[in-house]
Amino acid sequence: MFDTYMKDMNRLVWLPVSAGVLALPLLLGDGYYLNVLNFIALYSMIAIGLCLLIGYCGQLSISHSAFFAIGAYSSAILSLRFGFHPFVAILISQLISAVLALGIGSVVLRLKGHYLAIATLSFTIIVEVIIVEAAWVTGGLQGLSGIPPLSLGSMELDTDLGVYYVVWPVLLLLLLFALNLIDSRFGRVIKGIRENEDVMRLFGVGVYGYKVKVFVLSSVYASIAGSLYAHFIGFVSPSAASLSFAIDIIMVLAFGGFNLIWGAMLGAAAITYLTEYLTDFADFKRVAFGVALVVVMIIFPSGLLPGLQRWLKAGRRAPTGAQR
Amino acid sequence: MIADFTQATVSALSVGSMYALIALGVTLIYATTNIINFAQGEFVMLGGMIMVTLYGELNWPLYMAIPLTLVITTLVGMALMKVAYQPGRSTSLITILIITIGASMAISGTAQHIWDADIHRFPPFSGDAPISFLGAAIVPQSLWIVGLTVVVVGALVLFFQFSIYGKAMKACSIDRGAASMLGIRVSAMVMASFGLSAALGCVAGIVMTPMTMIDYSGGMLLAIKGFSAAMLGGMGSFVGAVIGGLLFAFLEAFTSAYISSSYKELVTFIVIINVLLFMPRGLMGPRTVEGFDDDEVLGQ
Repeated sequence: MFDTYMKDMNRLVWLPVSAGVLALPLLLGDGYYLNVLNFIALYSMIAIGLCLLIGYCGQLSISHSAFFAIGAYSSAILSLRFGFHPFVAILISQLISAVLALGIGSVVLRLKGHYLAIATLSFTIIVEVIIVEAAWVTGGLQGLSGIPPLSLGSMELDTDLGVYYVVWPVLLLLLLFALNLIDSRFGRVIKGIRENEDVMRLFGVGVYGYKVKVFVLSSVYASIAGSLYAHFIGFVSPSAASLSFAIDIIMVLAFGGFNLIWGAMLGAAAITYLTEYLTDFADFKRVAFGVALVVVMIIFPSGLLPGLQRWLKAGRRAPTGAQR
Repeated sequence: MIADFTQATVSALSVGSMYALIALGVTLIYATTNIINFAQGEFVMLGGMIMVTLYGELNWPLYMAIPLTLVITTLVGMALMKVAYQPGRSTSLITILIITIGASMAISGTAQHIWDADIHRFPPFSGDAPISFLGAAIVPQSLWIVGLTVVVVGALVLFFQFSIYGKAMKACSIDRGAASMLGIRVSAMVMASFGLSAALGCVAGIVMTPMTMIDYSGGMLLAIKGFSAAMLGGMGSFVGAVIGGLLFAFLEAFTSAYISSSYKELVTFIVIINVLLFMPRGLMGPRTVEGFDDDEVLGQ
C-alpha cells in the first residue's frame, strides 16, 4: 500500500519541484546563490547514485570519489588535449567510466561487507596515486586548468546561470530515473538483496549480476557529476579522488537518509550550506561533522531525515520501505 | 647493491613493526566484535601527538611520558567502544563502519584543535647518529622500534596463552554467546580489547613518530594500511597480523628501492585487492570467511 502511495507521490512531487527549480533564477535573478546551488546539484548526483548502491542495494562502496575523478579527468583530458566539444567529451567520459566500473565492479562485488569496503577503498587510493603520478597526462599535483566551459553553438555557458540550466535539468532527470528505478522490478530486486541475499538467490535472482549493474549505475552517476564539475569549475585536481571527499558524500547520505532518494538532495543542500555559508565554522568542520556523523548513526541508523520523519510520526506503523 | 638491500630491509623491518602493531589492534577488535575500526590509525596519531607534548615540549622523562600517553590513548579507545559496540541492537555492518569513520574524523579534528595542523616530531630516544651496518646507515630509533615491537608481541602472546583474562578474551573471539554462558563478562572483554587495541596503536605512534613524523590527519591512511596488513595475514589471526604487517612493509620498501617510491602505494594496494579476491582468508585466516559469497570460497 505504502509503496504505491509513494510511487504516485514521487511523480506528483517531482513535477512541481522541477518547475520550481527551473523558475527559481527567473524569480530571484542572478547571484552567488546560483553557484552554491550548482554545487548542491553536483553533490546530489553523486549522493543519489550512492543512495541506490548503499541504501537500496546494501553494498558499502567507497569508490564514488574515484569515479567522480575519473569522470572529471577524462572529460577534461578529452576536451583539453583532443579538442572534443565539452558535451561530446562528457558523453565519452561516461562510456569510459561505465566500462571501468563494469571491470572493477565485476571483480570486487564478489566480496561482501568489510571486504567490499576495503577493496573499493583500495581502488580509490590507486586512482588517486595514478592521477598524481601520471603527471604527463593529468598534470599531477597541480591538476589541469583551463578546461573549456560548456557551450551551445557559439554561446558559452560560463556563468553560474548558464551552468545552472545544465546541471539542474540533468539532476532532475537523474532523479526521476532513480525514483522510477526503485519502484520497478529492478528496484524491488535490489531491495531484496539488501534485506537477504540468500532468499533472493532462492527466488532465482542472479544476485551478483544485479549488484554489478547497480554498481555501474551508481558509478556513472558520480562520473556525470565529475564531468559537469570539470567544465563548470574549469579546473580539476587530485583531491577530487580523495578519501575525504568520499566521506563527505557518505555524510550527505547520513543526513539525508540512506534509502531516501529525495533525502540525498536535502542532505547535499545541508552539507553544502554548512560548509559554504558558515565560514566561522570552517575550523570546527572536521570535529563537528565527525561528532554529528557518530551521533546521527547511533540514534538514526537510516539517516537523520528519515529518522526525524519517523520520530515525528511515532505511533504510526513504520513504513514497509524503510530499513530497520 | 648490498647496501641498498640492507637499507631497504632495515627500513622494512621498522615500518613493518609499526604496521604489525596497527594490524594487531585491528585484528584484536575484529576478533572480539567483528567490527572493522576505521579509527584505529587515530590511536597511532594520538600516541605520537601526546608524546610530542609530554616528551618533546615539556621534556618529561620517558618513563613518565610513555605510561601517561598509553593511559590517555587507552581511555580514548574505551570511550570509542562505548559508541561503536552496541550489543542487542540490530545495527548493520554499514552503520558501524560509518560510526567508526565519524569517530576517526572527530578524534583527528579534536587533535587539530589541541595541537595544530603542522607536522610534528620529537627527538629519537637515543640520538640521531646513525650506526653503520653492512654499508647501510641505521638510525638507532629503528632498533628501538623493532625491539619494542618484539617485546610487545611477546607480552601479548604470553597474555593470551597463560593469563585467565587473555584466555577469556580468546574465548569471546571464538564464540561470544558460548563465552557469556560460561560466565565470561563479554562486554568487559570487548572493552578490554578496545583498550588493548588502542594501546597497541599508541605504542606504534610513540616509537615511529621520531622517524616518520605525524600530523593530525595522518591516522586514516595508517588505519587503511593496518587493515590491509591484517587482511593479508588473515583477519582475526594474531600471527597473521604480524606477518602481514612485515610483508606489507617489505613490499613497500622494495618497491620504492627498486622501482619507484611514488608507486609503492600502487603496488601494495593492487596486491591487497588480489589477496581479497584470490586468498580471502589471508595467510593465516580462519576457515570461514564472511566477506565472500559461500559458493565462491573454494573447498567449502
